[in-house]
Amino acid sequence: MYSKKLILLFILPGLLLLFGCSKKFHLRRDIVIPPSDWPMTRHDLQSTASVKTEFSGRLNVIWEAKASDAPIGPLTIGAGKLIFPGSKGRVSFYDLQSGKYCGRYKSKSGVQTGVVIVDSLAYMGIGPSKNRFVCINLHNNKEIWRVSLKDVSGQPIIVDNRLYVASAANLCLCLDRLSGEIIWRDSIGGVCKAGPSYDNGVIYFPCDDGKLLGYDAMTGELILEKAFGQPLMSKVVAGHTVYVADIGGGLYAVMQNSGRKVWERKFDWPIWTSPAVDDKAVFIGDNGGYLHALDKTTGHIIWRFKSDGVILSSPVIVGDYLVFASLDRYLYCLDKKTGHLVSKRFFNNEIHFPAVVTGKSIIVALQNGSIQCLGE
Amino acid sequence: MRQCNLLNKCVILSVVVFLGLPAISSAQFYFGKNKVHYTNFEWQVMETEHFRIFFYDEERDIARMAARIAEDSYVILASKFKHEVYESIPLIIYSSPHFFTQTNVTRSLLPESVGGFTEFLKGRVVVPYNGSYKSFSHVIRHELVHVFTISKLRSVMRKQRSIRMAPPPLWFIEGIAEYWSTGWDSEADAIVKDMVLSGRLFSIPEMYRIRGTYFMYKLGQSICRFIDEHYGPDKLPLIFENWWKGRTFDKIVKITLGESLKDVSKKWEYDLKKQYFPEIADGGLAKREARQLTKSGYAVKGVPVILENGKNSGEWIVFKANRLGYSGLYMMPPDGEERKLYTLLKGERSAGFESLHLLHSGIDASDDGRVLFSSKSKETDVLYLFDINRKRVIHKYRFPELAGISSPRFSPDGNTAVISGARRSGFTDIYRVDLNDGSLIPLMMDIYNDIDPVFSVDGQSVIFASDRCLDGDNGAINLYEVLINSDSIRQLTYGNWRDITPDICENGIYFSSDRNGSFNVYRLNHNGTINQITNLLTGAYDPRVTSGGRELIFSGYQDFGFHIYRMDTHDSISAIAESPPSGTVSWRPASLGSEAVRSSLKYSTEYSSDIAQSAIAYDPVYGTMGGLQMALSDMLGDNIFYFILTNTAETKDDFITSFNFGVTYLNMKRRMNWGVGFFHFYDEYYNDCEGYYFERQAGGLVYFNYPLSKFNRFETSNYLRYSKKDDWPFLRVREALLLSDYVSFVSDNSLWDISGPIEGHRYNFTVGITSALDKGRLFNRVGLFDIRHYLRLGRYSAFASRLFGYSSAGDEPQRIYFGGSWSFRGYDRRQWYARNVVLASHELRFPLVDNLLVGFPIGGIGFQAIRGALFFDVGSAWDDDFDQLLGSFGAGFRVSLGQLVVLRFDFARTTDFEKISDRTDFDFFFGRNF
Repeated sequence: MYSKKLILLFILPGLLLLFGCSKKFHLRRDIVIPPSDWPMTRHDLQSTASVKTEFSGRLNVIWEAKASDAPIGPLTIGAGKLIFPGSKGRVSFYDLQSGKYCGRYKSKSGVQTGVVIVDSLAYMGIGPSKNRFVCINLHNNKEIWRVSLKDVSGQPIIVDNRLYVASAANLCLCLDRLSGEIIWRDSIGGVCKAGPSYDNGVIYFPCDDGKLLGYDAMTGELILEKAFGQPLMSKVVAGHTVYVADIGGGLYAVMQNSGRKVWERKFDWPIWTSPAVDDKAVFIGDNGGYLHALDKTTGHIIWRFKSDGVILSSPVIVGDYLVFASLDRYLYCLDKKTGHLVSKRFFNNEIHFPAVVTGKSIIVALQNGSIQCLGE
Repeated sequence: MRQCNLLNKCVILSVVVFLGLPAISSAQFYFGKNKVHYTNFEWQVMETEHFRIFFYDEERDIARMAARIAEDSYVILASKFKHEVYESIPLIIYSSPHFFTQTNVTRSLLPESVGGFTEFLKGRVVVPYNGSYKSFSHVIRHELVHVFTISKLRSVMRKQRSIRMAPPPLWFIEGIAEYWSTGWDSEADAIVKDMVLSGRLFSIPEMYRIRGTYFMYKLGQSICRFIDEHYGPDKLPLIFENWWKGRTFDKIVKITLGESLKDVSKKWEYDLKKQYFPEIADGGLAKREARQLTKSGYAVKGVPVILENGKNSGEWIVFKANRLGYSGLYMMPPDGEERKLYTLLKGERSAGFESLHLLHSGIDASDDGRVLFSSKSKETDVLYLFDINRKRVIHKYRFPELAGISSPRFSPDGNTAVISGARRSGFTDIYRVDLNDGSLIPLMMDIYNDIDPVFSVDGQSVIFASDRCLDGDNGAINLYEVLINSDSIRQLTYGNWRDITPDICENGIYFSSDRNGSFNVYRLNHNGTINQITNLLTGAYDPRVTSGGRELIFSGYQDFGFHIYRMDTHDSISAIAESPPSGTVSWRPASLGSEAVRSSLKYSTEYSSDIAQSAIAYDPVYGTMGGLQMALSDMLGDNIFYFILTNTAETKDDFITSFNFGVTYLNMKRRMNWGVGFFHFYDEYYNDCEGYYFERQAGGLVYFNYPLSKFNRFETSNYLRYSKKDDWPFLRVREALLLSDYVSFVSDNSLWDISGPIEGHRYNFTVGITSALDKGRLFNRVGLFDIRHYLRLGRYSAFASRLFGYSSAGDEPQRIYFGGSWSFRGYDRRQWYARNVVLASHELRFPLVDNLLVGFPIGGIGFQAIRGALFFDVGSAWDDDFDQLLGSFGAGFRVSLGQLVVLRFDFARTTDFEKISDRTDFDFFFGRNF
């Protein structure tokens, strides 16, 4: 009897390990993958971080999940799942409706790029010790292709079966998303830490040497090279007018074709966040804890909101509201027209990455691995 | 010899139970200098959004300033680091550097050069106010950069669930703290420029050679500035963000900057050369443009005098210098020290002259042979009047209201003096001192930093430097004039730079200024125009004009050191007229509004853990040592509890009775430090006299330590213990209730080289008796003397002597081990176990190699210093009858392995004074010289 108990004691944890903790994520072949509100890291190819939705502005907890590690890259939504890149080299998948853990992909190093999913294929850059960019088939968890790329931390985008990505080896690349073959590449003066944005046939790479580079997405021809005074560490918002922020505290609106400055605004604090843009305004957060709303055509300040900590999590426009987190550990929801505080929620840990939107709710990841879906 | 093991059984007490007692003095438990708490401050705590500020009532204004500076700095650093520190940061403020040295937050003795520090266990920041708002602001922000660095790295590593104990290299930690707190300054510029122009710039891989020095801070600052300007302002923060990505700092830099440290270093060195080499076309170097009068060590604050009386009548220069380690006052002829040099006063060896403030305070001398200077004496500074002819201090002025005194100057008639005095509240003003009756009259009382006073030619006014000008809160210092009989103050120079150390002569006011980058000497003429007198690239300070105004004596910085130079007072550059600025010309220090202060309460002792660890060691002589060790202390470090718990049971039945534990409480709040404790020990021990035996000891102790000064102290320790010895092979049992009383006098003013003391002395005299209370008689008695003298022969060489004696008698005398590398060299370790020991050692210490790099195919290893030694020992150990004197002689070398560990190799032969042994004994040992 004693020995049987002992055997069970050893076998049970083993079984748990095999079937519980080590659950791999597989996409069922028969499911219809729903369209996602947040397929890319800033919602769309232009990186506007703006979603038209019926979000109520309330920040009540709908569900909460707990990952065993901290997020190392931005959250994304794909294949009906929330995708959480963890610092322990695991990409975890959660059900969007319930927060239930669905499994994981073991990347063995941090996925700082976040994961981009198109159809059943997941694309991700795997951290500095591995230094590669991979495409995974989520149906069988098999790697379809891989490219050696040094320390990819910028978030890639996919346009017309082409994947655009930058690496710390001062490279920007265009790959065939199905085969991984390099279509074109260019050496750039700095590193594009934030990743590219796209609009109207032009792919934009903001670089830490202070230059914004615009390439013809098809041919790789450099068609725009605009130097700003300070490193560009956040995504640019592409469009007829391109919105660029530098870490010297400058926010610029430049013409898409010529790079001519339409307006510029200098703030007192460094800016490491990406702008969010809707029909009328540009929103940007700075290290002094300020969230600024500016008229997108003139650059005039519409309103300004002060939080008590550094803003690292880029603002996101969710319907009529603006959502951002500050290192004072609050998640704020403001009326985007007036800047009035609609609601805020305190967390026991920091939020470094921007919220993602699904339906009428938003999802944020805390640095202690807690994932919270908020709404009404 | 393990001289600390004074009492055989009490070794356990001192090593195991009373781990904390050594910490009562700053010192090791046998020798060591003292941290003296002259004042018992009544501490209060002010809480702001991010800080808990600890202060005492006299410095309330400074605490409010500190709160504002700290909160402002926090916001800026949170932005730079992209990080928030969520724990409230303890910020401990002292109103004077002299009070700051009394802090118990660190056990180390703080040298005068330490402007503040961050303690890593509890994240405490400790900063003194030295009179300058700008300097205070700089130091607070510098220390907060350390706090953010620690917190940020922890956060990054925690986020990655990764552990890496290795911190960034010190040059980076201090360099970024300097760069993010002060940007770039003329001091950094002078030091880096000097290194570049002298061809002795340290590359980044070579930075270990200047580890911990001021040079390292400034080079680190320069490298961080280079990274910021050439690689982009995002890169310094990214080094912290990328901390988890590489195993070495070089790797992290490569990931962040795309280049290795070696490549960054090459670019940085090239950039500095491009920047500084062209400057030599317009400026000059002190050694080329002027006559260098001093050669050794550092020499500053030269004062030309023409002595009227005595055997040394004639022209001389009186100056301060640190030639080999201790600072002192010296006198040399006007053409330099090479011809003749008189030592007037040796400082920093006694309580009266603890610190002469070499760089921070000027001196003055008069033609009648008197010298005015200030020195730290016990808690505060005193003003000394020294007679050159009699070579002694003729008057000493101590002012209870002043904590600091600097830069005294005689009046033209020599009866009065002006000084810059720092009040106990921290603020610095100009005072007039009547040298006849010692009365002190303030010329102003405000919050500004008023320094470097000098009487006008007619003695009716005082010229001084002050930060009361427009940009004073940003570090600007201008010259002012105040009338002796009026409180009206007139501004003489204007601008956002530093005009300091004025000297008056008929032609105008000579002063040093960094208005054009480096410090140079200028003259303010009577018509308000200014002439530049020197144009030196690496700095000219402390101008003094010889009689008649023909020549200029100044301190110049070049080739890593300060020396005194002489040159003509020709006007090298045409006059520049200055006009006063319009508008307001003063500033007020910003302080935190009352709404931002959450609470202000009296400080109450809150204990938190300093260290908790598990360690175990077994020594057949001393038994089991270690177990669970824990220390708790309060925020100010004044109260400490030490706990130790272990179990020496060999069988299950012994478990309860074999617990060894000790609790010691130390109180270091006042000048008299004291401790109490209780303990229980049970273990098996061994000694050469009694063999193996078990002993149970249980009891308590009381400890007192009264420092007379930084150098001398009395110590007493009393142990009451029940002792039961069980000598199991012979079934003997000895039970006793023992009371031990020990009294020691300890003196230590030694100066240390990397391998051990090199100058000064160390004494320890101890007597003790142990009584058996249950039997009503004396149990044993001990006496010990240990006298060590160090005679300095050169920069790294010295002749060291030691005379040691020990004796114990009684029913159960306390024998000590003797022999081996640590005591009687050439003989086996623990060769004798005796109750009487004498030893005389003489050792010649000299340098062999300063830096040695040994290359291997897989890398290299570097040794910072290798020192040689020739020694000769005479000693004996006996129990009842003196046997004979034995001797040994030999040579050895000591290799420094980092800052803390010294490896000693000794080759010795023994002698009985009739013949010399054939065998050469080789011994090696980790530890510093005696």
